[in-house]
Amino acid sequence: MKQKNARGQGASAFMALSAAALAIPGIVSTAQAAAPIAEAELGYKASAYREADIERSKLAAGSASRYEIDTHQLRFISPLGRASDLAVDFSYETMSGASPWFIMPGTSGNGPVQVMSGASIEEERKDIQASLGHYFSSQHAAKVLLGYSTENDYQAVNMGVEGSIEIPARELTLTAGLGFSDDEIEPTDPEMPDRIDSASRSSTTAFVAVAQVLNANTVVQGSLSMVTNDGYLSDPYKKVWRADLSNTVADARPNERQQLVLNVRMRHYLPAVRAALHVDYRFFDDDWDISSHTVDLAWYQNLGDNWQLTPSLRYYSQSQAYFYGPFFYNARSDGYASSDYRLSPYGALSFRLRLERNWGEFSTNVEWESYRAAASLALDDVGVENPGLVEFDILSLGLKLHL
Amino acid sequence: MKLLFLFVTALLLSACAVEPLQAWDRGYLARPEMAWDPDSLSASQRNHVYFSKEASSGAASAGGGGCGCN
Amino acid sequence: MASPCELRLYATSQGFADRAAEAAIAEVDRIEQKYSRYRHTSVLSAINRAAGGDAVTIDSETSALLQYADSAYQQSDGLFDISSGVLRRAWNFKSGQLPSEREVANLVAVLGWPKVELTAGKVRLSQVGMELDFGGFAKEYAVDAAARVCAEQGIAHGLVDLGGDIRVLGPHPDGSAWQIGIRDPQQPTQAKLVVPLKSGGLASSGDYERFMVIAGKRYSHILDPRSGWPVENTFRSLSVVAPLCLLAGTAATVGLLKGVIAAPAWLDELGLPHCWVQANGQTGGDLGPWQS
Repeated sequence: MKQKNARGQGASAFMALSAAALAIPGIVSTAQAAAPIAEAELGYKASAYREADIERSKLAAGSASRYEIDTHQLRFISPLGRASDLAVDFSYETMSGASPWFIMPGTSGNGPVQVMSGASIEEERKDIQASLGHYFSSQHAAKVLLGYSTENDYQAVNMGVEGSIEIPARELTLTAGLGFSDDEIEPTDPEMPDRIDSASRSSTTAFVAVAQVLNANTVVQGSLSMVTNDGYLSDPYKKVWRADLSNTVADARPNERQQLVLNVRMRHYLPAVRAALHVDYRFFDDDWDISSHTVDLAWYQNLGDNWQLTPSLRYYSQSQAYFYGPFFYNARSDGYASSDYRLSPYGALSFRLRLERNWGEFSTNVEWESYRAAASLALDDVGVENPGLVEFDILSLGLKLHL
Repeated sequence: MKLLFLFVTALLLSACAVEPLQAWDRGYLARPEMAWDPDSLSASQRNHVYFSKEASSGAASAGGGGCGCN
Repeated sequence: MASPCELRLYATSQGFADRAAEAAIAEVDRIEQKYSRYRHTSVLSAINRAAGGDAVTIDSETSALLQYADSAYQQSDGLFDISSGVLRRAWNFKSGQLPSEREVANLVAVLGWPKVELTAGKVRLSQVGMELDFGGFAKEYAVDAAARVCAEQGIAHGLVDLGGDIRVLGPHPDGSAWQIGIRDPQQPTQAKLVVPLKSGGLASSGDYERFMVIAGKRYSHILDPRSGWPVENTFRSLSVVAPLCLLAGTAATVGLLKGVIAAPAWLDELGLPHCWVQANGQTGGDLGPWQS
């Protein structure tokens, strides 16, 4: 309800009374302040990720059909005593298909062509992440995170701590965190020439975030993250074509990478149409010369009492790594070289549609995403498009159960 | 880099002008669709896909690990 | 609580609604038992039994409620006084007899919020015979607490009504306001006014429930704690809308004690929408629309 404009002494009388009323424990939900989640919840999601075939005109050799991933995710969250909560995420993925191997110069007039990995890869990945939150007061909270993930050729452990402080008088929430991950890579086929036996890398993340409630309908958050990667950062399965050798050499990247990420997020509620607008922007910059912009817009539209339809649009554009090339005429003086499409300059557009139905004790949702990457979508002009850029669709079904 | 810090500082400074909300005004902010990630399973899955298909990653979180992503 | 109570909740399933309603009712029962004047085991009875004796240790909820009572006393220039219940000993509206001036004066000498010593975690009634009564705000508090419980259970559209003290949890699902009927003092089963409410609380206070007429003069149960005598020239009923039912209730109680002249200006200053019914049946205030 709207309170009329109170005047002078009356306003201070009203404020004094309101403050006294709000100090009574039973009157205001503590759910809005930092507090453990109120009830246990179990979530499940099954997703099918399908990459489109590579165009024949861009394929030099190997399989035209690309990657497929089926994912099953389970999430359990629960209060733990009066001042703590727990979240456990488990995901299981099976992957199969061919992936880009190296790129060769095309015949005159045409762009370069992709050589795909011949044999179909069959792999599975398991990942478990757990976090424990503790709330020292309605203004102070801390979280510890622990995770383990394993693949046929890969193992990673990660851990992190986060702390947050609320400043109610300014409607601010400050969060800071530190994360660390240690990865071990052990290629499944070390008998291949110039394949490494094993390698390791580590990554350290530090971030600060500020969330600000602007008014009853709007909240914004800004965050800054610094990430340092150390160790073997090359891709053991990718090759680079060297025209001077008429042969391939191993993908070789610097063994350090410093990243800076700026994130700004806004949530705005429109009561008149019962919808929430999400606007996310991310700026990314690293010392491999890659910088990128990401904009994600989502519109959560409530329909009737139980349905929610959410269309979203995501735009992404990145510049290339300084040692990237679709192929190389000769060796770079620093010895680095990569033809990975992920380090190439391109832009990507993705559209999502999500429909959720609330059944009371549980809710179900179906979500579809269509993603397409292309050099023409990049913010800057791109000379040569990497032929390995992806196009994929994801269809997923989700279930959320209040326990 | 300088630009970024200016931006964050501007955000912090803008904070000073905000009046505290009364508890009864928080209904909209507390709605599930106003969360940073209303569907955390969907968000973590999509972030993993973007992470493995794009050069950029990173968010305000101390969690998550790498992968061998092809 | 003898008055009719009502919970109206919109939920996606019966089970969902039942769970929320059950939790809300349990919360109301808890508050009623804790602060009832009639229960020997209540926290309130323990405080009153110790009048003139030692300080009683109280929990944070009771302490916050007493702080609120203190704030209301200050902001109402002493009109809102939860120690004024002792006046009941002199005023019996069923008897049809006026108390003696001395009887009333003796009680006024005993009552008075400043005689209540409220310190951290403790309260002491400094004089024998003193008594606190939460009747003036415990029910309104219970309404807000029940609304909070429903909201925590995920109810976004609903209404809590404990005998006319109301808190709205959000409009009907189609966005339309709840139509709250304000009782007609002449015919209490009928609505005199209808107030549309989408959120917040509404509470009413009236002088028509208990009164007696002696020698042509009307004496109502709205007693001024400063004199011990019924307030003259006030509204038959006064309803106030505020963000919380508790605030609405306090404002309505104080407004009625302030009387016809002072109440509207005071409520305007507080910025609280209100409406009234006068002795002659006339209505006024800035809440509408009006029903004839």
